[in-house]
Formats: sequence, C-alpha cells, structure tokens
Amino acid sequence: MVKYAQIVVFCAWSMLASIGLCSDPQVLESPLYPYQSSIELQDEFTSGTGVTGFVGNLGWGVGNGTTSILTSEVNRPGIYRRDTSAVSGTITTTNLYPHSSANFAANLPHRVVFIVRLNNNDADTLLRVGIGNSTAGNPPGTGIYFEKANADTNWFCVTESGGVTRTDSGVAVNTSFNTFEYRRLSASVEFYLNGSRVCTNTTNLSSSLSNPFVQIINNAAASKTVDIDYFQLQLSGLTR
Amino acid sequence: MKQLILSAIFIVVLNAIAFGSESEIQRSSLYPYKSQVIFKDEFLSGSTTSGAIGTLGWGFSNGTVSQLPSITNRPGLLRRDTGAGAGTVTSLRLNINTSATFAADMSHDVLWMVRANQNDTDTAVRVGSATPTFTTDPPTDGIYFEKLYADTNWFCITRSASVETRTDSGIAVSTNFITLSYQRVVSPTSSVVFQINGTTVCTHTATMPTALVSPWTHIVNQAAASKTLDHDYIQFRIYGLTR
Repeated sequence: MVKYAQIVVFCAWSMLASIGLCSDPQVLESPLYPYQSSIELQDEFTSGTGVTGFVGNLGWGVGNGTTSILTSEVNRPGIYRRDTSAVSGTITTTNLYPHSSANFAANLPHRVVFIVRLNNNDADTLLRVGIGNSTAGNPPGTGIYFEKANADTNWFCVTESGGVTRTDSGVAVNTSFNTFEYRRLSASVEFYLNGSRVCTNTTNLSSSLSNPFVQIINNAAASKTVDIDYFQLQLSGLTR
Repeated sequence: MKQLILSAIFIVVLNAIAFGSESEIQRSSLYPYKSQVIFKDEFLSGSTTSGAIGTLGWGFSNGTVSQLPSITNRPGLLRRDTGAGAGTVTSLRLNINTSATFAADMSHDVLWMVRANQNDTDTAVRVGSATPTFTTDPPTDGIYFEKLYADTNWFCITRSASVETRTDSGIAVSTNFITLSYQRVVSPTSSVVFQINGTTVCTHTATMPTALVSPWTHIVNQAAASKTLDHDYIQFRIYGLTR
C-alpha cells in the first residue's frame, strides 16, 4: 500500500513539475543563450518610443509613415502601430537593425515569429512580414516573408533570391491579429499561420544578410495601418 | 522497489512526451531576480544616442558612435571612434548615469566580443568593468583587459583605489574579433579568472576592487588620428544580490 502511495505521489509531483506548477521556473535555467552559436530575441513592444532606434523593447528602426503606441488590449500587452499616412505609395517599414544594412545571413537555421494585425484588408494595401535584405525596397531584393499584395485576398508565402517563389497559403487575409511564423531549414522554409503549416518553399532561398521587418504600403492616398504585438527570433549556426 | 523505479521511469518518459514536446511552455527566460542580474546585448538594435545604444540602452562619452553593416556570424556591430583629436578618452558603459551599477566584490562574470581595429603604439584599449568616472584614464577601480600604447599583448588588470595588479596574458593583440571575459569569484578564494577566447590566461587574487562598477570599454588615441573599437556582443551575470 505504501509502495503504491509512493508511486501516486511521485506521479503527481512529476506531472506538476513538468508543467511548472510545483517548481520555481525562474531557477531552472539561465536566460542566456549559447552566444557563440545562436541568438534569441523577443519583443513585446511594451516600452520605448516612436522614434527610430527607440521602438519597442529592442529599439527598432522605422522608415516613413508614422509610429504610435496603442492602448494595450487584454491578452496583448504592448502594441505599436505603423501608419502609412495618406500619401500614396509610402513604403512604411519597421526593421530591427536601424542601420541601413541587414544583420544575419538568411541561410542560417532560424525561426521568426511576428504577431501583427493588418487593419485594412483592401485592394490598396500591401503588407509584408518576415525578413528582407532591404527594408526600403518594394519588394526587397531577397527575403523570406508573408505577403499580401494589393489584389490578394489570401496570405502568400514568399521566398525571394533573384527569382521569387510565391505560394498561396490558402488562408484568407483578415483584420484580426495573426501569428506569422516561418522556419528556415537547411533546404526549405516552412511557413506557419496561427500555428498551422501553410506552405513549404524550397526554391529562391536567400543567403543574403537580412533584417526582420514589417512593411506596409498604401496604393491610394489613404492611411493604411498595421499593428505589431510581438516578435521573436531564434537563430543558430553562428561561429564566433 | 523495482515497481516503483519502473513506474517512475514510465511517468518521466510520459511527461516528457506529453509536456516536453513544446519547449516554449516550460522554459523561463527570467533569472532569479532576488539574487541575480543577467544581461546580454547583441547590439543589433537601438540608436547611436547615449542612453539608447544597443538593446540595453548604453551610454557613451566622447568620440562618435556608429552602427556598422553586419557581417556573417556577427549580427549587429557597434563602433566607438575616438575621432582625430589626440588623447580622446572614448568610453562605452552600461549606465548612462555617473553612478555605476554593481559592486565589484560581488561574484560576477563579464564577457565581451570586441575588435580593436588598430594595433599600434598610439592606441590604448580597455575592456571589462570599471568605476563610473568613465573618462578617467585609467579608471580608479576596475577589472578589465588592457592594451596600452606600447603593449603588443593583452594584459589582465585588477585595480582598486588606483593600485593595480597587471599580468601579461601572453596573447598577442590583433585586429580580429576576440572574446575577452573574466569571472570574479568571492569564495572560497577571492579571485578573478581572466579568459581570452575561452582559455584561462590569468588568475588574480590581489588588488580586488570593491567599488561600484559598470560593464565598460575604453579606447584612447595618443596621436591625432581616429582609432576605433567594434562591439559585437556582451553578457554579464551578477550573483549574490540580496533584495
């Protein structure tokens, strides 16, 4: 009897520990990643200002348009808005490294997650979410990103390197927050929308230095906006 | 007993499958705040304004600051430049205030990845932690690596109230990126272990500073020519806080 009681107690402890309820997760490990081979970044956009180099917790750069900090929503602490303004054709970008250069080689194994909301789902709004070698280019010369071109009603998965591979995700564009994620593997890129894999591209995979970015462009003289809630980068394969 | 062990193994495996498949829901990126501080910076965001440099918001004194184009394997690079005015004590430090951030006699470790772009007799470089008078040359207190004008090797420094222990690391200064780190241990023996590219090069037990210090770098030009220091990465950990 005692033996089975011990088993029950152990099972309960083990399961609780697994979901972090009976231990202090703060003492489990270091927040530092193996710096010689990897980089891990997150941004909740809960601090900073709208000035380039000061945006979000990380200090993002912004180009063109306007930047504002929105009132947080339940379950969405910290939201930044990028607005094209009413000048048609404004390439409005938010990019991690404010320098004009990009920051990591796109052929390294990595994973990028953005949670953003496109507030205008119409034929005059273009949105890109992912990485690109040029935040001012339309489109960038190389990159990996989700795209809604002006005429699109679905999200497209794009890998760009000289040529362009553009795959229909089959998921309709909407004006809700969506989780855009891709995983750069050795010979492919897997795209995920709200946790479901929607595309796998194997061609036009860039190796250029690239920069995480969100780009919104208006095709008419009207303001178009995108809201950014969260960003995450996990990169491996560095040698330094 | 055998049943107990087998059951335990079964449950651990089961839990690993059930709960361990998505590592994000188990891991915490928070450090134990009551006793530690752990920071890092890749210098791949922020601006060049003092207080807004890098992800952490570094401050600087003198010279100029610029973000460089990244290079493969070095995402995010920050350059400190003395400018062409001779004798410019150019610093980068974590705390923009004139105060420093932590007591040097606490257990802590600091790791920098930097590149000194001039290895000559007109360039002095210091990399580590130092007292808040960031333009004092040298600082009154600190733990750092040093290349003085005439040095051709990196030297390990522990400096307390302007008295220092200075040891030749045996590692030649170069213009390549280098990883300079030290570990300050309080007990059982008070010491600082210095490492270059992961190899221990010096161990100090004398002139241990106790003053408040901050992670910091110095570059000073002796001649009227620009000298530069590039920063790729820093991490530091402080242990033993009670708050």
